[in-house]
Amino acid sequence: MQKSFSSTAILTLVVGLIAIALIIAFSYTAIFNPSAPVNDAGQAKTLAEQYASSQGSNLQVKEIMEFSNQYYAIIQEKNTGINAFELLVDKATGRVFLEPGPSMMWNTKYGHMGRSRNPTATMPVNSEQALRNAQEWLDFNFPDARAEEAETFYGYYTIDFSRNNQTTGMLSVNGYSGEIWYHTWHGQFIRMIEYD
Amino acid sequence: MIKVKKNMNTNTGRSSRSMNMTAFVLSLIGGILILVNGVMSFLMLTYYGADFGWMWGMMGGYQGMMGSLGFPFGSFMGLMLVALVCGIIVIIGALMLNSRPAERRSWGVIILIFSIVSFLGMGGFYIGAILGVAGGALALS
Repeated sequence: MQKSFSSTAILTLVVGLIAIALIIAFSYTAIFNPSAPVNDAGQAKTLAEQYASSQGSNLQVKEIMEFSNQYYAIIQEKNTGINAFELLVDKATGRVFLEPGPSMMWNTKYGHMGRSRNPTATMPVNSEQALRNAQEWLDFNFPDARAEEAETFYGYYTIDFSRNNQTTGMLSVNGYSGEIWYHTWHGQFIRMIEYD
Repeated sequence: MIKVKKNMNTNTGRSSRSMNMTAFVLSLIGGILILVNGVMSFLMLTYYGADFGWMWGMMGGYQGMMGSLGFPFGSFMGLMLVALVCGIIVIIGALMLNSRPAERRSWGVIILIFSIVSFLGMGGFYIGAILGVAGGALALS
């Protein structure tokens, strides 16, 4: 019958618990959470470009939109001119995210779900139909709002909408089912910068 | 009478060895699962880091992205590292349990504690932690 705790086991226990305590303590500090506030659209573009270049050399920033909650960027393929994916840049931390929702779930080339072997921007639901679906949805949910131009991505379209000629929000339309995904997370629109 | 006692001892010895072996196997598999889960999660967080960080934050409300209601991204990275440490220690515990049966209670406690702590980092898809707890408890019994 063992009478006392083995010294090797005590050492393992102590070292393990200290390691875990240190990891948990440091995980809430700047070491694990580096952040730098983003003050203008130029900084947001630089950060979006860095993210885009990490995904491939054929990508460039097409457009930056500033919202009250974050910056939004459209990344475009240089050779095809097709929109690749959408990014968000957190104003407070400078962290760059693949936009949750359509860009993550419906994108058949760059998304996390349902990537296709032969991704295409030619979809059963064309841009005119997508605009009609968007307008129907807007008529029901945001009367007086008007769907603007459809931006084509692999697997879906993203459409800005406006009221009194002022951009107020954004939604996406699935290129295969015609389903609508309203972007609830942006906050108030501030301004937009397009790049050639 | 003496003969019967002798047989019981043999059976007890066999049973004890068998329990030790079961505890070792359960703990080892549990430790490996915890380690694999930790490594996989760590790599996924590193690769898709920001996106997962956002998603976790989103679970705390959309304000999570602004760092108000959601957990900081680093805390999830930290929890995956905790799982890594737990996985390594549970494996060490299992190996020691096998090589030093006399110290089984000590190593049973170690396996039990770190298997429970590993739940913080998804505990080897939860199955690993459950196997570790079972192995640790068996070593203590």
